[in-house]
Amino acid sequence: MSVLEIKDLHVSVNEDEQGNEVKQKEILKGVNLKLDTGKIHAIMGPNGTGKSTLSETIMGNPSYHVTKGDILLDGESLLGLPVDERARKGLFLAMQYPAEILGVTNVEFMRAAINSRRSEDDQISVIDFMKKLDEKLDILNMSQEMADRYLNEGFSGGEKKRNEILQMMMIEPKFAILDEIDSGLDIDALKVVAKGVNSMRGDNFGSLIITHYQRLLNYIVPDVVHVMMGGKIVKTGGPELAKKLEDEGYANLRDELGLDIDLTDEN
Amino acid sequence: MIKDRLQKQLISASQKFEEPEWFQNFRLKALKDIDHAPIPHFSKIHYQNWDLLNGQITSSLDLEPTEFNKEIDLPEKNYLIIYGNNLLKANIDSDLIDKGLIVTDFKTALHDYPKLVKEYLNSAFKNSPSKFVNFNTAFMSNGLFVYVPKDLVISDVISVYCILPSDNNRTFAHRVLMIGDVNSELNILENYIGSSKCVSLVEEFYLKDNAKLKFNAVDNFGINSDVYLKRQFELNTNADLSWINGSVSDSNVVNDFLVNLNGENSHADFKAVALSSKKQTQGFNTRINNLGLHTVGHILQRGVILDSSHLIFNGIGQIVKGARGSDAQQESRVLMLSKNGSGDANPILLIDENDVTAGHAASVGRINESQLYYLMSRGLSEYSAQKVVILGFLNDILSEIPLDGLRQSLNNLIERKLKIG
Repeated sequence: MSVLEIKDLHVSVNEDEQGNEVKQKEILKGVNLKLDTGKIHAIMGPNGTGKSTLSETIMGNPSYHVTKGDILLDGESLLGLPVDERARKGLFLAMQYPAEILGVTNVEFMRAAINSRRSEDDQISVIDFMKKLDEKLDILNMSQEMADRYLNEGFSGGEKKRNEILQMMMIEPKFAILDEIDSGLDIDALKVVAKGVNSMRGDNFGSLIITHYQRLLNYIVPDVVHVMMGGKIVKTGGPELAKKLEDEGYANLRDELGLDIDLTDEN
Repeated sequence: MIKDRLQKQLISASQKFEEPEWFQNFRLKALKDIDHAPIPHFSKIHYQNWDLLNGQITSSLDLEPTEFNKEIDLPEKNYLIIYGNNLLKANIDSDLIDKGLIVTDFKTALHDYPKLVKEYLNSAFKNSPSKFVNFNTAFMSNGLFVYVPKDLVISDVISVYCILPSDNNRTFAHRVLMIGDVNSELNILENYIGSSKCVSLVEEFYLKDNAKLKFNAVDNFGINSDVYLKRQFELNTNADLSWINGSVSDSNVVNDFLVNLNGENSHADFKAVALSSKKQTQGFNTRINNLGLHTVGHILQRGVILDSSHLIFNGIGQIVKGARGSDAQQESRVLMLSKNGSGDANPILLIDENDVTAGHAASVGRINESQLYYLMSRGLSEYSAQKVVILGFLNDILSEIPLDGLRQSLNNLIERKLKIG
């Protein structure tokens, strides 16, 4: 079993540079979270509350600066590690806006990603790789043709999301963070993506699903639901918490908790 | 004084190699004319301090044969190896030789086909005197000669390996003369490997009516060389040139490339990939002149800059008055991986005719950080991620290479350069 622990995490980003002075804006203001493999966690929260900042910071995006706190994988701090080392240690981030890259095909890329985790003399064989790929493509209703295309190049929004899930299934990380994997998906695509994620469930896989809406959680039923507001986790509960939020809204929960937070999209 | 000495050396070397008298005189005239001939100027390419006209260090003219010990991946047949100044091996299909194909080294051609050599040699340069061409004419010690007779269509690739002696105290001057006669077709791969202090290469190509040439060239000169590489093509009516140029040298190279679309409907398509690393400079002055009616000239250049190297792409398309219905297009793009290097992409269109189409695009840009981050977030190291982005950037050209072997070997050479770069 593996544990990913986020301790009192404070994160700032650079605001627009004015003159020589770079202003920092604090987005995360003390996040505490503990994920175990074998469980699926969901983080819900209104827009602009730091959900994506949290996922990018865990992954190691250099644009986000940790000013306080720690991120630990099985007790070892990840803070000093670049993104590729964190990935090889078992983290995966399904991104909201995956980059498009010409010249390398999906297949080549996934093989390179898998092999980057293996030693030089233990690279995955073409046959094993293709067998695994066929299996995963099948689960996601994806064609071989899509796997042979250049990485995300000319993919629709929905295809990109599906492709993120395909990569996750091929790489088999310990922890996968899915950042708004449901945005831009119609109901059929949503079901397919959920099927892919559910197929990963097991003792060696943990996930953190970030979403605005409860809908995705009907298909990927989480073990734990966290609500994030104003750069902090403000409430934790079971799947019923997501349903309650859907019915009552974030503002209601905020008032119930007596929090003094402005919600971006509040009327 | 120096000239007198050089002249004596030339005469004695020329005699030693039993060169015909006209050729000896050709050399002596070129030597005499070096002084007044102009040095070509190429925008933004600074090569004035390079050692490109050094006739005084041990010249390649007296280079002795040496044991050949380089490993190269040879095809099964249809190849030629020129090592230093000697034809080391020729393996050309006897069927093609029977049909009149000539592929041999320049020295042999001078003895065996003097009429052809005399008819074409330097005729492309008649109206454009250049110090570099004169220097090459005076000091060339060997090279390549190819003649494809009328109506002969050769689909197999002819591979030529020209290996420099890797002696850093020499001048190495070679000449390439290639003639595609009426209705002929040739597919050739030319490789340069090795180094010399001062390298002078002049290549001239003549494509007669309806002649087709697929010209693939890879230069992989070693470090500590200064190289002048001129390639000039003269195309007659309906002649067709597809040219792929891969530059993976570690040395300073100035590429002086010119295609003259003389004949109606002649067509030239030029694609270049270049990778610069360490402290080297590679400059490309690629020019296509649309001189005939309905001629088409396309230039596509892609380059990558590593370390503190310099890479300059000049693309020049000229359509002269009267070349109606012609098309000149060009695109040059440079990708910078280093803050210490510098790059330029200069498109120049010179259009003197109304009834034409022309276009250009150029850019110099840094590597896309979000692409790198995305690739690395899947576990690829920074080096692997850069490699993916670079090969993607070069893909427009690499994917178009018709020869699998060449595509693969260029890929390998690029990877090698990235590793040490």
